[in-house]
Amino acid sequence: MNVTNDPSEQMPDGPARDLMRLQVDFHARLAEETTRYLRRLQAMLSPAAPGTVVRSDGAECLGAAGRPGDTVTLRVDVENRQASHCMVTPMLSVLADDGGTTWFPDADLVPASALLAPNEKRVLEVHLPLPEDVPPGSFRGVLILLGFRASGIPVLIDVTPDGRKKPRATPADEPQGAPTKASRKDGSGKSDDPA
Amino acid sequence: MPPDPVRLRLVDDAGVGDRTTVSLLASLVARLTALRTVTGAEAVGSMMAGLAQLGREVARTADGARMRDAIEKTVAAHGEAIWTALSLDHLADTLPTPILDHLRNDIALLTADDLEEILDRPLPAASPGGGAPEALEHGDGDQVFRMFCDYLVGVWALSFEVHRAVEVLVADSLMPAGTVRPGATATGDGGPVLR
Repeated sequence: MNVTNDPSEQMPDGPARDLMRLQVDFHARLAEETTRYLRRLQAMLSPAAPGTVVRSDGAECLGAAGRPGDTVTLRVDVENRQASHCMVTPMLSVLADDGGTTWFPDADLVPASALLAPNEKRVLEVHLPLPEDVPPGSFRGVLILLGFRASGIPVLIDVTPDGRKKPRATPADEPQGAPTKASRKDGSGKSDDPA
Repeated sequence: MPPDPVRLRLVDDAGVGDRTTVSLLASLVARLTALRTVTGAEAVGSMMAGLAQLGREVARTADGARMRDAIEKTVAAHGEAIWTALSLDHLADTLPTPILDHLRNDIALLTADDLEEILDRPLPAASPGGGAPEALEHGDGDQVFRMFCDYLVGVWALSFEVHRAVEVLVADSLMPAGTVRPGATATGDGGPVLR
């Protein structure tokens, strides 16, 4: 008996070949569907892992403004409303403006991680230096609390040539920046923190 | 008038259950019990899939995107070759373990005020048909104490080593934090962050 790798030599043309192909396809799909079914079954029966969801109050967007060379600060109040301790690890996404400029921020997250006891509140701060080569514009991104469901908080950083804040449409979009080099340089004594 | 700060509340995921000491312990018992019903390959594959899922989430962040970019430029080709040759891709093509939830839940157990009281009760029921593993019921106190301390120091040391090793592997290609790419997108597929 000759066994060859060439399918055309293995099977004659005609109904037998079509039947064989149909049979092979059937078994392939059966194996695929069986695997999918078993995975779904496994998912239903697998041990559940209690998790954490983030709910947001107050402003829905973190914002700040500054000019290149400044450092702005974003602040978030976090409260653990669970009955168990909870780790919180904030991370900032890549920021991008409408022109497609992408900024990989060198953010200093304070604290880098926090273990919150039940009912404990902490302030998370993101100190964000604006690079000298970042062009003016509105940069959007997300502050992510790693591992939580629905954890992204929109971030909007306005980079302005003169360091002054652009007028904002809604109070919710107002920045919460810390005093910046720009505000100190102009002698106003005011911070970028909207007031 | 200052804008409302962004306030975040960490709450239980209603779909899975509250994070209480009892439920966290039940989750741990269920995981250990599940080890009796799965093969070693399935358990390792599920953890690999969980790590990959965590990696996908972290790649949305600035630091994660830089790290992923550097990995693609350095060790990814060899990694792909090894995974393909040893069929590790098939191993990891399974139900992902929520690895971060598990870690955080276990950390929370270590800090639970009512842990001793809960452990004095009969252990919570595990997954369907499962009971508490024997390892939880037996053991010389001093020996377990020492073993646990060694284990946690080992986890701590391993995590540092992994952290350093990956950074050393990609050091030459790691984009500096604070990089601005004019007119570019975060990743080759159009930027996952802002989609």
